[in-house]
Amino acid sequence: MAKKLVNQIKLQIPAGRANPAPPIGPALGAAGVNIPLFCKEFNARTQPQAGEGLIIPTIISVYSDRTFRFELRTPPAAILLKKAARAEKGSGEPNKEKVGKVTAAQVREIAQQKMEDLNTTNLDAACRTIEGTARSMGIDVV
Amino acid sequence: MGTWAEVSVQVPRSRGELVGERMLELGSQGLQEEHPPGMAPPLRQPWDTGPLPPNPPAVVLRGWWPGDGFEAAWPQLSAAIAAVAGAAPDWRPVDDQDWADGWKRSFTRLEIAPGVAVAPPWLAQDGDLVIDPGMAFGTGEHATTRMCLEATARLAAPGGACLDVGTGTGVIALLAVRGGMSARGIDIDPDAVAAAHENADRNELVAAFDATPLQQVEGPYDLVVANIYAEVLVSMAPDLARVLAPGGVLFLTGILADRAHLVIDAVQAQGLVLQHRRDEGEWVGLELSW
Repeated sequence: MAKKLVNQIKLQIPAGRANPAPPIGPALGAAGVNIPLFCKEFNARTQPQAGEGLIIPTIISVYSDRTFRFELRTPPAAILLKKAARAEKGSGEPNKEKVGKVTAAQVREIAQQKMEDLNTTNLDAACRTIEGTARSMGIDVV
Repeated sequence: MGTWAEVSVQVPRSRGELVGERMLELGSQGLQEEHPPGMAPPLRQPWDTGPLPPNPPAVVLRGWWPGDGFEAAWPQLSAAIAAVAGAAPDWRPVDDQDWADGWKRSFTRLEIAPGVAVAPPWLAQDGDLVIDPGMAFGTGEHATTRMCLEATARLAAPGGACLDVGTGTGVIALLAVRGGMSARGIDIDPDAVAAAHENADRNELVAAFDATPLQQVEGPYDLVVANIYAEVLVSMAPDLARVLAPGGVLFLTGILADRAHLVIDAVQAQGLVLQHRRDEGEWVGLELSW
């Protein structure tokens, strides 16, 4: 079916735990999207990450006949960094209070995972972005 | 009915991930990321080519917390978000709603011709073609869908064969079966083929659905219907003509008005003759025959 894209909704949802409550209900309900179907499809596709408690960025494209498609992105760099550093949470005062360390190799690995989302083909540039995120959350790159 | 607290903050795009992560750490039930008001770039349509428009330099992040006791927690939460965002967040209460079923209110029963209607299960009347809205089919109110449905209802010839190219939920093929034809629906999307089979079962109708590319489909068919983008229809023109029976009718839509000439030229080059053109808003439907 041919149709026009009328809305693109970006959400971050816990893997395997989509339900009609916020943020999904208010965001998709206003767009006329079949919410139970979205939740079922999302949960089925993210089940493998559900055990890790990962947050999955998701882009839902809504068309003029209110059909939809969604694509899953890699988890935010901040989450991948916390996982790599085995940190519970980021630092409220990143210059003073450090919450963990990651190696340059781990940064590179995360940068490779995030390349597409960072909208770059330059791995060094992606690494610098990830290092910046790490510093901002009190994670040292060693 | 309970409430939710919706917290929003505008931050530079470069800090979006970090602030979002902090909001999740602080208990937000997921997040929504939006463009700041008035800064959204144009949506990229499926037929658009060329470079992506640049993103605005800022994003608005929305998070949700259960409303109970939120006001008491707000000063501390607000300060924690502001510390990483560099900007003060706002919040507003949002009533808990029946989101699981509320989306259904925007759907209607669509009467295509006397005695012929398509409806979602919760609105269906006896004899309606029942299609469950989902990823492959919406309201049926979309101009191109409606044009296809109306053309199929009008052109279905009992005893003939119909080919529905890009079948989606199979609604066109199923309508043709209702009209006394044998029908086959093809779609390159396996999800669509599965949905079409489910809808055939739901309506207790028999039609063939598969993911065979049009190039491999053998004709002839008395009615060929395709609701696909103009650019795709142009590339399909030789095969659409090949599978169309002598005396058959080809109905094409999914065509934006400014691209209609491309499709007309391509099918006329195959020897088909334009019998009728219907314009509805920015969309066009074309009826052709030999």
